[in-house]
Amino acid sequence: MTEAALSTQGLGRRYGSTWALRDCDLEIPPGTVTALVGPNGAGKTTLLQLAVGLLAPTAGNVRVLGHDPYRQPAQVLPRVGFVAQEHPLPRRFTIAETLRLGRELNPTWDDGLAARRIDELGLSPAQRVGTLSGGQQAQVALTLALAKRPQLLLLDEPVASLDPLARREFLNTVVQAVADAGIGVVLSSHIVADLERICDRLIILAHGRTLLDGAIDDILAGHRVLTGPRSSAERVERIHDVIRESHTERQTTLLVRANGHVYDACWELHEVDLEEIVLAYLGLDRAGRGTPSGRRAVVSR
Amino acid sequence: MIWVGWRQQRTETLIAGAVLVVIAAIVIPVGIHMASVYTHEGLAACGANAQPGTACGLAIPSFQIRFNLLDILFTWSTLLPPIAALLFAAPFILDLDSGTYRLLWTQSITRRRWIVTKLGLGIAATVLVALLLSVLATWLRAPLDHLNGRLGSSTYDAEGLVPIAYALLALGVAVALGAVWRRTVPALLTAFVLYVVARAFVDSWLRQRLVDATRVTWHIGGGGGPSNSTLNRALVIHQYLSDKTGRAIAGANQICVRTSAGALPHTRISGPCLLPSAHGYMTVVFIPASRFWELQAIEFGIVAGIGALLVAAAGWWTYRRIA
Amino acid sequence: MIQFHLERRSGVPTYLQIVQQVRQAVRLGILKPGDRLPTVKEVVAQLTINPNTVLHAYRQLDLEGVVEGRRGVGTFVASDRIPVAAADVKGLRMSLQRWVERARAAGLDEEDMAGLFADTVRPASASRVA
Repeated sequence: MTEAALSTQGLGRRYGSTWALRDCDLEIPPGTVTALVGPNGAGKTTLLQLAVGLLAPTAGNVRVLGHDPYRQPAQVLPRVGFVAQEHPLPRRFTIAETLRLGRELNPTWDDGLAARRIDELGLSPAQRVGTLSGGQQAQVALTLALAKRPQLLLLDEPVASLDPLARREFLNTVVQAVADAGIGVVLSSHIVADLERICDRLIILAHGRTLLDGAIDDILAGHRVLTGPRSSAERVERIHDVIRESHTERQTTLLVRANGHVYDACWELHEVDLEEIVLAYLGLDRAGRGTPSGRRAVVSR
Repeated sequence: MIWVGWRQQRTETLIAGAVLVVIAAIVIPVGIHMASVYTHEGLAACGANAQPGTACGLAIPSFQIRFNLLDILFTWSTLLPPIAALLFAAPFILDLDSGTYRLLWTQSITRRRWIVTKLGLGIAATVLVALLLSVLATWLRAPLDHLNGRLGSSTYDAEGLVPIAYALLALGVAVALGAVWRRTVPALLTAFVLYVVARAFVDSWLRQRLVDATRVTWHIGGGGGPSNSTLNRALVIHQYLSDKTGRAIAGANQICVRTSAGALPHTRISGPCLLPSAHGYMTVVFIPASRFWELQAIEFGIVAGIGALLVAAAGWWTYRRIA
Repeated sequence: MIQFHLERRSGVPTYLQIVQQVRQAVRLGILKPGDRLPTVKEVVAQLTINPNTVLHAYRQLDLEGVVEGRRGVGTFVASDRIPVAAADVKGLRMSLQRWVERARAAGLDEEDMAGLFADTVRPASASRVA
C-alpha cells in the first residue's frame, strides 16, 4: 500500500490557551489534489505549517510522505514544495539570484526546468523580484517550489491576493504540474469557487476542527437538499445527518448528508453544489446570515 | 547557504566597505601628516615630559592643540563599530520580519543551518569591520597616544580589543531583540539605545572597578608622587586633597595660591582653599597606562562574552520558538 | 481537434460534460473515427481542471466504446463505432418538429419546452443517493 502523502493523528497546535488546530485526523492519498477550505483563523495555515515543519505539534503527530517533518526535515523538505501565504520572496534579489537560491539550497534542484518555467512566464532573469506584479511573484514562488521536483505541493492561500486572470494562470500551472509529474497537491483557500474543477478531495476546517473530509465526487453524491412542507427534522435526523435546517411558515428546507437512501415520500430531493455544502458546514446560508453551525463533526471517507 | 547568506548581506557589506574606504582616504593622509610633524618637531624624543619652559614644554601642548579636532572626531568614531554591527544584524532580523524565513526554512536545508550561517556571517562581518576600525584608530593616534596615553575614554573605546567587544554587544542585543520582536527598525533603534546606555555605564562606573587601582598619597610640594606624564597617560579615578593616610579632607578642593605680592588671599574664591602647610597631602587613585592591555582583555571578555551569549540566545530563540 | 468548454453552473459534473461533448462531436462528425483526442495534458492546460477528471472522462468513453486508448500513443475515436444512421436522425428530427408544434399549441414557450425536455431526459439521479 502506498504511503499517504499527508497523514495526521490527533494533531493539535496550541498558542497560549488557544488551540489553533485540534484533534485533526487526516489521511490524504498520494497524487490527489486536495482543497483545504475554511474561514480565516480556521487553522488552515497552522495545518500546512505543521506539515512542512515550520511548526511543531502540541499534540498528536503528522507524517508527510512517511516522515515527521519537524524532526526529520532532511527526509521531508526535498520532497515537499511549499508556498507560504503571500508567497514571500527575497525582494532585492533578481529572478536569476532567486533561482540560484533554489539551486544552492535544494539538492534535487532541476535548473533547466526552472529556467524553462521562467521563460514560459515571459519573465527576464535579470528582473528584480520586488518589481514584479503579485501574479508574477506568485508564479516565481511556485517555480521555486516545483523546480526541486517534489512529490507533494503545499500551497497556503496561493491565489488569495491575485486578480482573476493571475489566479487562473497560477492554478493552470499547478494542474499542469500535476498532469506532468503526478504530484499531490494540498491547497488552502477561503474561496470555494475554482476548487471544484481542480480538486479531487475537500477538507473543511473551522475553529481548528475538521468538519468534513472526503472525495469531492463522494461529497456531491452524498449530500442532498430536502424541501417539503413545514415539519420537524426529527424523523430525518434519526437516519441521516442534518447539516443545516431552515423553516419558513409553510416550508422546511434541510441539507443532509445521507446515510443511504432517503425514502420519505414527503420530501423533494435536490442536488447541491459544493459551495452550498461548504457554506452549510460553515454555518452560513447563502446570504451570509448566521444559522446554527457545526451541529456535529462529520467525516466521510 | 553561504552564498545565500552573503548575497542577503551584500548591500550592507558594500555600504560598510565604502564607508571604510572613505574613512581611510581621509584618515591615512592625516595620520601620515601627523606622524611626520611629530617626528620633525622632535616630539618623539621628548617622551611626554613637558617641563614648562623647555622646548618640549612648548612643543607638546602646541602639537596637542593642533590636532585637537581629532579628539572630537574620535569620540564620535567610537559609534562606528556598533553601527556596523546593527547594519549586519539587519539581514537576520529582516528575514524574520518580512516572512522570507518561511521560504528559506522550507527549501531543503535545516532551520539550524540557516541560523548558524546567518549569525555566523553577521559576527564575521562585524568583527572584521570593528577590527579594521580599531587598527586604523590605533595607527592614527599613535603620536597622540604617546603623549596622552590610551586610557582616556574616547581613545580606549576606539583602540585595541574593546571596539570589537562593543560591536559584538550591539550585534547581540540587536539580533536578540529582533528574534523576539521580529520588527527590524524598532529592534535596531532599541539596540543602539541600549548600547549607548551600556557604554556609558562601563565608561563611567564599571571600567575603573575591573582592576585594582593604584593609590598614591604624597606630601604636596615634597616632590613625591607620580609624575605628570604618568598621570597624563593614566586613567585618573580620583584626585583630592587628603591627610597623610589618604583620607579626603572634606570641603577642600584646592590649595590657596599666593598673590604676586606673596600674600595669601583674604577672600575665598570658589570654595575653601587649603593653606599650604607641612600637613597638606594629595592622594590620587589611578590606573597606570601599563595596564592598558590587561584592562582591555578583561573588558573584552565581559562585553564580548555578553554579546556572544545574546547572539546564541537569539539563535536558540529562533530555533525553538518561531513559526 | 476538438476544443472543450466547461459550463460551471450547469450542475453537470465536469467529467460528464467532457463525455457529452465528445459524444456530440462524434455524432455530428466533428470527430471522425481514428481522430486523436487531445491529451490529458492538453485538456488540463486548456481548461485548468484536474487531470483525474479528464482521465475519468476518457475512461468512461472507453467503456462506452466511443473511444479507445492506445498506451503510449493517445486516445482515439473508435473506428468500429456504428455512426447514427442519417435516416434515423432525419426521422427523429421530423417527429421532434411535430412535438414542438403540439407543445406550442398547448401554450408552452421555449423555456417550458426546454424544461420539460431536460426533466424527461435527465436520468433520475435526483432520487438515487450514493
